[in-house]
Amino acid sequence: MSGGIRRRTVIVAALGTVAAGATAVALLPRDAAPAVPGAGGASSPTPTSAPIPTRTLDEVRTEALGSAGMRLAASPWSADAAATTTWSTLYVSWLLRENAVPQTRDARELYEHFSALGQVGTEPRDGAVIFYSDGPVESIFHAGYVERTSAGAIATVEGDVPDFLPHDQTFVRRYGQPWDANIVYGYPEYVVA
Amino acid sequence: MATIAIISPATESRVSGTVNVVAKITGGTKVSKVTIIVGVPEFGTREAKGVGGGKYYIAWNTTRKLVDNVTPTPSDGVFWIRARAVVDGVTITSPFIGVATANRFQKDSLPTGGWRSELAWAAKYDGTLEQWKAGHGAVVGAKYVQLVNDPILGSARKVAKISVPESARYDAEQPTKTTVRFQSSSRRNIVEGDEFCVGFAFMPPADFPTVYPKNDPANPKGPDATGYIALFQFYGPPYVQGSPLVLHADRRLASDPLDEFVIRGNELNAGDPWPYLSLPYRRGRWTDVVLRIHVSRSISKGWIETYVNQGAATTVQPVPFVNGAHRVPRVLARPDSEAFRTDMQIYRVANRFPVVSMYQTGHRIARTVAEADPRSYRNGAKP
Repeated sequence: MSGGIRRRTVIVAALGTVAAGATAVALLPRDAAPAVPGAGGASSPTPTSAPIPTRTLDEVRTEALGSAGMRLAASPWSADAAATTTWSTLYVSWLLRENAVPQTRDARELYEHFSALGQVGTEPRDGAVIFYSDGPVESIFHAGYVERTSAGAIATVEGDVPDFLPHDQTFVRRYGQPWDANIVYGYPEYVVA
Repeated sequence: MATIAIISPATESRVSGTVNVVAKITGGTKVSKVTIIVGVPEFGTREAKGVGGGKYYIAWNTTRKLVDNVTPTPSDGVFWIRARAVVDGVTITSPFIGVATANRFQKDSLPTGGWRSELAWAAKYDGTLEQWKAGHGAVVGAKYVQLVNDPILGSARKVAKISVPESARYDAEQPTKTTVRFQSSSRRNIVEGDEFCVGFAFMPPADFPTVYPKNDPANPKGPDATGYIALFQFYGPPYVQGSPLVLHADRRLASDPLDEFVIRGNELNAGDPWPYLSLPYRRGRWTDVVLRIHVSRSISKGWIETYVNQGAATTVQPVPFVNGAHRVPRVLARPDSEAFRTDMQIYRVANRFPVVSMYQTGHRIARTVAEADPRSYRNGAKP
């Protein structure tokens, strides 16, 4: 498989990622230096098993759509996750497990991974990670996967929703647009076939 | 960190007339965008006025519909209320309180009610199509039904495979020409005070369509709405108002999630902050549902409990609502309601889909949840 990968081109989900920061929503850190991954009490990200991306955007997208409706129990991303824990980030990092993304259940930690690489912004792109917060970056609490963007539509696939259900009853849900305005994006890397 | 809470009225209290809903913010310095949300955010979000001491309020007229604040409410109901504000740049949200309105039916002497053995009923799937049809109170669209082996359980269970084309709208038996309907009804004998469990199972095939509201950018076919596709309802005459309980694929707003079946509140139950039940399609898999219902026109007597299994267990499991409540007060009849029945459906607006298909089975009215459970995952959970 790796032989084929070498013939591919690595891209970032959004080219020119941070350029859109001028119109940043309140979520984005303004003048602050990029946060250090694992800061704020979060554990250090688990090193990804794939240091370079090995999957295309279409491959990840297909897997995201195929998992719609699934719950945590017995899911491939459940790992050792207890039913009482949040798992939206666990789901996203599982989707991107072969795209040089740390495997974590901490949404802020995942954001900080992208931030440290300068791969965050406010522009929705196919294959991006969408982060929801209560305002400042410190309050990021939920992550999802941007399946597709088109004129006026930002289709996402998100785990551990709706948030009013217990975590063992939440599921992977598809949205046609983000459900809140306090959002920011991280841009994973993909290979191009 | 600042916090916000509803301090009046008290949770679980009864309210009537116009009541002040008061939120209090503790901590923080710069406060903005204080809103109090009564019931559905789309209709019940109000900007709150500050009165000092960190307190903010709205005046809520409990006798009028939230949607226009003019039309009288047709019934009392439970309303879930919370408050939200931005404090020092951070959005904070209060816990919910739940209150019941008390403007009507206070002096009614409604029956205590309970289970009646006459309510017991089950659709017969393991015989001929004529037997299946004859066992129902009524059927519309029987010619679009095949009784087949369960695609998952095989010959262990018979199910109805239903495929309703657009052309069905011209069938003489269709009640209207603006809708396309398959509908199989239980006996119509459910009245005020009755307490029962209704169970059913459905499985959308791979081509079961996504539905879209008008002007949804996510709709690849353009701005036209597809309308809803109803799967189940609890209903009866007079038919001057909508059904008080419908499970359907129905997205009113572009922000509603895709590919889910929902039971929403309605004008009888206008205080829900989100759909009462949300179920992902899970195409190609069974969804088992049992609704345990105490029928009443009074919010002080009526309630509903919901149990679902989409493969996480071998039996249906309770689904919580706001604040983890499982038995939820519910108005499921009107003062002029006649006897109701339960319907399995594929019911949609005409001229939206060439064909809509669905597998259905297990439609049954029983005394207990276990008796009504379709047990589609009897051979083992498949999460």
